[in-house]
Amino acid sequence: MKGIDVKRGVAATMERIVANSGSKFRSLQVKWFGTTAGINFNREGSQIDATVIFPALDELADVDRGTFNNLIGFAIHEGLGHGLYTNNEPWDQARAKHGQYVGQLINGLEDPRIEQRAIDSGFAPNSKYLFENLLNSVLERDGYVEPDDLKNIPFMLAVEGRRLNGYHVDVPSIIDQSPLAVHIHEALHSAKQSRNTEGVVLAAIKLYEQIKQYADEPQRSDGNTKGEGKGDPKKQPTDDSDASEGDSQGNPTGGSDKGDQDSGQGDQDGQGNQDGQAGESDKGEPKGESKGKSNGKLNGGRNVDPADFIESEVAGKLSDKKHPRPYTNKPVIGTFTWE
Amino acid sequence: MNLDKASCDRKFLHYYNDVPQGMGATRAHLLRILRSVDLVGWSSHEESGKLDRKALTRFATGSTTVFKRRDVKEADTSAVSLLIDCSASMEMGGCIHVAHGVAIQLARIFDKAGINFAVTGFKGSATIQYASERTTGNQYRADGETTKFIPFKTWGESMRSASSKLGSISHWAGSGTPDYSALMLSIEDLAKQRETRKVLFVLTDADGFVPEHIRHVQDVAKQQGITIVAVGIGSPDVKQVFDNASTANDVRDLGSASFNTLLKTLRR
Repeated sequence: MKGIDVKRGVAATMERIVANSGSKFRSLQVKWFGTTAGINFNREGSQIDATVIFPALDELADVDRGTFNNLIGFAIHEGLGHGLYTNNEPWDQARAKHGQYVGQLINGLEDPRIEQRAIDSGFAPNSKYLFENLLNSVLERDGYVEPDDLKNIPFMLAVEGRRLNGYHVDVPSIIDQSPLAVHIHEALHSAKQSRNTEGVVLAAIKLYEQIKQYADEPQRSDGNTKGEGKGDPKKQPTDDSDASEGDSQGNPTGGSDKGDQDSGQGDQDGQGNQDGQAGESDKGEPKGESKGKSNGKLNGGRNVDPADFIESEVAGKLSDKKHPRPYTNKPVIGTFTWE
Repeated sequence: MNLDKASCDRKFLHYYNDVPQGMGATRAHLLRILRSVDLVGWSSHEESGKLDRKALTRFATGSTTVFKRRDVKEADTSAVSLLIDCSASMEMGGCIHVAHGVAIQLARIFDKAGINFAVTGFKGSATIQYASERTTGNQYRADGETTKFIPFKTWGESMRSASSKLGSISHWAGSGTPDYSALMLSIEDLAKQRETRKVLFVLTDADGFVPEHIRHVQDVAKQQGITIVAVGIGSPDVKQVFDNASTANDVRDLGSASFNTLLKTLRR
């Protein structure tokens, strides 16, 4: 299929979700520009305005069915899942206080939770199949992680949490091989039972304390950060990419809505300008970051969010960069008022 | 926008009844593009069906394919979208009034021919969004467009019920030109119509159009089976950016040889 068909399909899915969800969404848009994927959302009372952002896919690019399904799955994950069921405030506060790794842990626990909520809502039929497909596509391309690789516990949580959701996962579970198996199981079950992001944050912080304690033990000082079990080591994200990941819930990678006249609103994280200052969140460690020995062992893990997988899926199919075309906002329809 | 209905009704009638000379040929060429008839024939050498008397000699030599069957090729049906540039630049030199007259004359032809068509104006504004490259953190700027569509006549709506709205076209000129988004969204809208043949007429001065963007729009339209015909209102620039284009400085130019030449080209 062509890119135009993909865009049509994604837009139709979002429209269906809005229609099925009653008045929960004031708007749920999709925009295609740049090279990054993510979501901007803003809550005013019980009303939500959400924009799922995809890279600037060329309308005439050939897209296979698998990629199309993954794009739809990502749109539902971000738009319906995070848009309706994630509260950014406690997440951002925890990340600011405890550091990027805690943000990753929260991400790993929150993603399965909001996907389960999305499935249970019934607003997007077939979402379970799409989420499952997206997860297995990521695993097929990049492989799984080692059970004792501390920096990749967030990724492990994202996979195992989805297994707990009842997805068929193409790789076997590795939790029980982890030295922190008990704590990981506890965190997963706690997150699954959480009714909101706040509960997930508490579970993540508790797990973080346990991981830190384990990592700081003297016999661990030579580190447990082995490489990945499968996949090309060259594909492992660098610290730079890891540092930018935390913005993915509010904004693709710390981009902002500064000057976005049609939305008329700023950053969606509820923190004013965090996303507008893309570089600042990457400068050094956030306040409150632990300075213990564990710190070095916990950086550089796999990206939990499927956003970078989605970006790579369409990387070779983007529109002309020499003559970048404007992205298209939802149109406004004029009305006639007769005197 | 507050509109005086009586004034708009008068304007509609003025343009509707002001039929330029030469419109007969224009009408004929347009309808040859947009309308065809069912083709009914007979296929022979069939083994069942109606007895074909011309095949009786074959029967004498033992042939069993002496029947014929009715063969019907259904006519192509057409959907036409007429898109009018209502941006601020169209106010200059009275272009919007020319566009107004041209639009109503074209709508008249489509209506009398029973073609499914819609007439829509567009204008709008630009938006800017900033984001960061995930791996480098480099900020980049993305330019967007918000299109305002004015539904002068919707799909399935009768000319009669749309007449007041059609009479208001020239009142709407103003604001920016989101040409790329307007065209892409119109292509999307037209692609949803059931008819087999789809044509998008654009009435515009092509002010500020980026040739590479319009090139892409035309490629997408072609992929979707849509033909774009641009009528440059008071401006030859439209021929620089659109493959199928003609100019009209006055409504009378609709009946001109150059416009009809363009229509003849489209038939091929």
